[in-house]
Amino acid sequence: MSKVYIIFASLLILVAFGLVLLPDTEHEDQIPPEALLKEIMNQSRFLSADLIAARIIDEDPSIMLVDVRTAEAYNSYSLPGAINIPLKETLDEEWQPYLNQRGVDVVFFSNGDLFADQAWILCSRLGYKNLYVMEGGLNQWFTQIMQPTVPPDTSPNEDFDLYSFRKAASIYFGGGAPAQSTQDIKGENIQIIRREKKTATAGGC
Amino acid sequence: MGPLIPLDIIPEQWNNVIAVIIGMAFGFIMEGSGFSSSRKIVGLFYGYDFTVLRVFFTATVTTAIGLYYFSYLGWIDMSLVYIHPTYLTAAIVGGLIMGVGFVAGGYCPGTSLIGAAIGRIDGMVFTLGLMIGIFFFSEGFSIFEGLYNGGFMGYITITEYFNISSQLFIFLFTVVAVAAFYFTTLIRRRVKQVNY
Amino acid sequence: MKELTKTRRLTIASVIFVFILVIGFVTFRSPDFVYKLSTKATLEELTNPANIVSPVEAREMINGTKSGAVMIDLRNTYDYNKGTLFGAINIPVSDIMEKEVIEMFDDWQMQSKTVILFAEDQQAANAPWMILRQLGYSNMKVLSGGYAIAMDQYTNGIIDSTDYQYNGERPVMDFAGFIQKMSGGEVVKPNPGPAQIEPIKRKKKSVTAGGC
Repeated sequence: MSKVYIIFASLLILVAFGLVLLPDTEHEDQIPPEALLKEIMNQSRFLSADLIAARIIDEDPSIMLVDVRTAEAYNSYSLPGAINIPLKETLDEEWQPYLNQRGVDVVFFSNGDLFADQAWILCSRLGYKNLYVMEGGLNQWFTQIMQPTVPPDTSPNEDFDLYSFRKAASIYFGGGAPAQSTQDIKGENIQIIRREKKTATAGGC
Repeated sequence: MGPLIPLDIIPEQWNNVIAVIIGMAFGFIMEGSGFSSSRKIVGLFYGYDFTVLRVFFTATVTTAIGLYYFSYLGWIDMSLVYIHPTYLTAAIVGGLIMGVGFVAGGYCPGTSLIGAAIGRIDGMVFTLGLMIGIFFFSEGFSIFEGLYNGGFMGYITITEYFNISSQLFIFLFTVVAVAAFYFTTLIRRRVKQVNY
Repeated sequence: MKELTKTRRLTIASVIFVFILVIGFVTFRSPDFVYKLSTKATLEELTNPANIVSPVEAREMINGTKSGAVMIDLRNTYDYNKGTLFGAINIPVSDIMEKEVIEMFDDWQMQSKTVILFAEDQQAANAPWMILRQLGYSNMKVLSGGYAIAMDQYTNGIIDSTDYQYNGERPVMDFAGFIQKMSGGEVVKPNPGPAQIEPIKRKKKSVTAGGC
């Protein structure tokens, strides 16, 4: 046997042994911290309550609301169509198919936006896509949409459009006519302003 | 960085082009290793030529080592690498049939095409037989379907199944491969030299 | 002769193989930042009340006996120049992973100084805190409520001192009760969510013809 073959054989074993010595790199599907920082700087993860209301009214199938509050709070009241993934259970195996998916925009919400944002950061670190946070959470939902305030007379038309949208939405979501209502908007004639729909991002692979 | 196609670095449409290029390189190496000769291949079973074993063991070991180094260096994401699903009973039965055909005919499917390509008649006959076999299997698929899907175990690897580290497995595999190279050389010396 | 050309090919192939590995290791740089906490551990940290400092506690830590705390103002420089808390150091969120800043954080961690992060509200400080906490800075804490509420407390005194009142997570009203009242006794129950999920599976290619 020629010497060359012995050299080749020992080289092969040496290289393979080097592989064993390599430190274990855990290649979890995680985005690096630098990328996570960029993601949290990007405010586009926040969807306004108005936008979400419009999408629910449109029966947009590409939106999935995730209530991160406790099961107790969820059972007492939650947004229509929302599923309950308490913040503590965010990483549980059974919820991963809901959170880690393509084609549906997952919108986290809580009473404020802190807990929802925490769930968002955890899932974003895992590299999940199409995640959003409802800006201001249920508190803003109830103060803005369920009890819209009449804009002052001097406001631009857009504000009045927004107001009538919110008013209509509040009726849609079972809030009835808000107490502060002074405008005579007849229930039948309410035109729900359809917001421009955000196209669902089709996940490419 | 990799794998290139699943991560869309190379568009998926290039799949077939790349397949042709790799196929040509594969054929070239096989022919270069002498795999167009059925006697050379079958030598593995009679003990006078172990080129097949050496080429494939070397290829497997080199690829495995290279891939795991690449994975460590962050050049490839191993979780995206395609793993062929395991159908255990189907694989055992298919392996037996293929093994018998291998010894009897002196070719495996790929090498028979290489043989045919350089104009060997036995290679052409083998390819024809291959086609007939495919025809009967396809036509009688409903009969074989249970066997074909038998023993499904999912996309599993040996290291996942036995829960051992892939790196250690590769190292042991390399040692076994080198040992096999050595012992086959010994066997070859004892067996009467065959000229072909 | 034939044997010779083959070993030469082998030599070339081996040299290239080793060369590629060497190039790989020479150019290999370990990432600057590595998560020290797993996602599970991070989730536990989120519910740890020790990571939240109320404005009063913060004042005690800075002025009182428990010295050795540092305040970090994460707002932008414009807001910082208008006013800040206890001579806080201004590090806008975009800069928290700059080299000099990280060196500073490392020093404080060595001295086991408590670092209190705050921004306009707690939610804005939470995200940078979560990143730094996941990078392993266990001495980082978040100011409950943030700048606006802290200023309000320092000037007007404490109104309320329950745990979660400043982070905006306390419901502003009884949601279920409100809906019930408005819709005339009808309780709106959340219906289970859409089932149209499309889990990411291991990418399946069409059948590959394998073998030799």
